[in-house]
Amino acid sequence: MIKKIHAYLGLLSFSALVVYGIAGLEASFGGDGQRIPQGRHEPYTAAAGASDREIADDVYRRLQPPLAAPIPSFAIKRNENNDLAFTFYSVNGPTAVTVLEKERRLRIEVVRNDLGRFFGGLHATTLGARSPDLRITLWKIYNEVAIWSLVGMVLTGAYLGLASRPRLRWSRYVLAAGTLGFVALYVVTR
Amino acid sequence: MKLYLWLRNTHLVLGLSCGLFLLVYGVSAVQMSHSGWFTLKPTVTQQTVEMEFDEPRAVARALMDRHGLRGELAQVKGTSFRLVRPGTVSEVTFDPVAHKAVVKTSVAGFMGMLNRIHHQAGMRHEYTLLNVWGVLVTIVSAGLLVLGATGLYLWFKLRPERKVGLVLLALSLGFSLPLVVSLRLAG
Repeated sequence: MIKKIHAYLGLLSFSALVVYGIAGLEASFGGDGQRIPQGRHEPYTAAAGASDREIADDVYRRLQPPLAAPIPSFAIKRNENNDLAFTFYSVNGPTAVTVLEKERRLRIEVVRNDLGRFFGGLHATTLGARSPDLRITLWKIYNEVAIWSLVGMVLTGAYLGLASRPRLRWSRYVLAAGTLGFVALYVVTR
Repeated sequence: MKLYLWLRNTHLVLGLSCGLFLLVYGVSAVQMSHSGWFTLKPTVTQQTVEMEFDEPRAVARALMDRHGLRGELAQVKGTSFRLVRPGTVSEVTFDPVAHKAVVKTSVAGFMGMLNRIHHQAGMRHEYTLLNVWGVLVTIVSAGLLVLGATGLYLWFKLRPERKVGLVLLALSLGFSLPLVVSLRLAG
């Protein structure tokens, strides 16, 4: 039974596990993972009586950056020129927007993540992600299933490794070595 | 049969040796996905120490040698910087005129520590322990891919489980692959 559960969890979350593995390797070896920003300008006139929050929401409605969520209030800032500036984030890369009120236009810089960063972004897209896009919602659900599956697989795997093959004594040594290694590093880092 | 045994043992060795690491990643992912379930408030202490140096790196060195601070020097801005290691951040502000340095140290609790370990990566840090974590992240990540591949093979060899497994795998791939492609093409 435990063996079945272990295998089923792995099959159900297979794609996510591959994404996690790639994301980990990307975090280890990846460079900055982003291509040169593609910049452009668009005409935009900020409403005279609007707050910064309202302008950010208006720009979001106007640009509709794919997969990105509306800007949270803490991320609405003014830059060194006192221009309103904020960034829409998505798994494909950030879109930085500067509202050039005097010039009556927006400066938009879109950065495209490479595949490694894309997978990194996917692996971090959990239930906390706020994008209204249905695809992100579906991925969040799949990722949630995969996270719990990973926990389940580790626990059932440890049981299988120890209990189902009592003659393989070395498997206990391997588990002990891995566990001790982690605990030792944790303690030293603490 | 030899291939089966070899792959089974590979799966077993990798799974058991990386087990605790993977469990930490899983549990910390649950914490990040359900941040409201956990409290990550760190313990904060503050101390003021005598400091004769007036440059950030020299001040950091002195704090390490005399006061036991450890970690990677980060966010250096004029007369302030941070010393960072997983779970512990020391924010230092020094006054070269008054010869004082204020050290505010935040120490994360258990879940906070797991969260920080989850985010640790890379092998080009100044602080050796961070590089050790980086090496382990690399091994565990590669291990996860090998575990997936060998697990697929081992499942396929379990004849009674093939039908149910195929349905689950088809569901998983049928759901996730078009989704991943669609997300990538979203622009």
